[in-house]
Amino acid sequence: MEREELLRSKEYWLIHIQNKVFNLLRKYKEDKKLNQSQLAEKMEVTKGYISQIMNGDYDHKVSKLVDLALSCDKAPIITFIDIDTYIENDKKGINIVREQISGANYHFWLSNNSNEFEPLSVLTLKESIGDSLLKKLNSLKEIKNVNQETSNLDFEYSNYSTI
Amino acid sequence: MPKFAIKHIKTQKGKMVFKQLIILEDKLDEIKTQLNINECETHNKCIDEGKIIGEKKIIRKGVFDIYSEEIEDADRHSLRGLFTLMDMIVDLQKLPKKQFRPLQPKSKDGDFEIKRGDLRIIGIDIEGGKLIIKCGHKNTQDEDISHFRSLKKQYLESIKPKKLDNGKGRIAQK
Repeated sequence: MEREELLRSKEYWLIHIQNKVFNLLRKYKEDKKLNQSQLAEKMEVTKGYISQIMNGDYDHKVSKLVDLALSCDKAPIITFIDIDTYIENDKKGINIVREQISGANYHFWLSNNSNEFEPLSVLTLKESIGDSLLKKLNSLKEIKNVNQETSNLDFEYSNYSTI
Repeated sequence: MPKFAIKHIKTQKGKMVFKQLIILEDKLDEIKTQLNINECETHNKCIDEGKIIGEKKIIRKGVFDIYSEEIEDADRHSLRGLFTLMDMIVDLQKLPKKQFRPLQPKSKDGDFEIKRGDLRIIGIDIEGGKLIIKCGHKNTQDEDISHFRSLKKQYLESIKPKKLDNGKGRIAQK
């Protein structure tokens, strides 16, 4: 199977989301030193429900996903990006996500090729500056070190802050 | 004793790689075949294409290639699931034990099993990643694991460096 075919499949994204929920609860359980029963009690769900998630079988309501995230003291940020752009960036070894946060300000999440999508850098930029950065990064054939690339770019940083 | 080669599975991208076992026909030279495969993979040519020189094919299908081709339509979504789990494994993500687990009893070769739906793949740790040795189904699990152990033993034996022996227990001179 070609990688592009895999990235365009429903199963790929479903399993990734299921895995995120699994890891959300796994880390919370480890950090708080809870057993599965105690975790179920904290989440206000049944042990069977927790067991399903820990087996990677999560496929429930969006509202329940929000409940689980908040119970783990996490905000369930969900974003969508153009699949063709994602696949192009996957070939380069990086993913860049632009997300509007307020008014004309945007978050840019730059992560390595990890499907875990933990951002390496998050920049808050005004739209015009952010678009220029996005265009420059997308034009690079390969990005080996995200932090190095963003600091190398000849760029006016007068209106940005890093988080 | 069967002969073996190994080849890359290129669908996955991450911090390590997945490879698969190729079981060769008797008449093939395993060293030459492996060198041809390595050459093809290094120069990004000849992948999944047979090239005929005389009567020999350079690129052979591995156990996972054959398995993937034979999967019925009803199980194709599980196959895509297996590819996805492999992708997450090479990216060093934690997976539920129901999807990815060490085989028991634990072995020094890092025997593992990946499961999705009714599909199973079994392999070992190798330098830089994982090697798939056997692919099977839920309802033939015991036989598959038994066959895996047998193939594994034969494969590991085949890659051991061989001593020259003149039959009298002494190392023969070249």
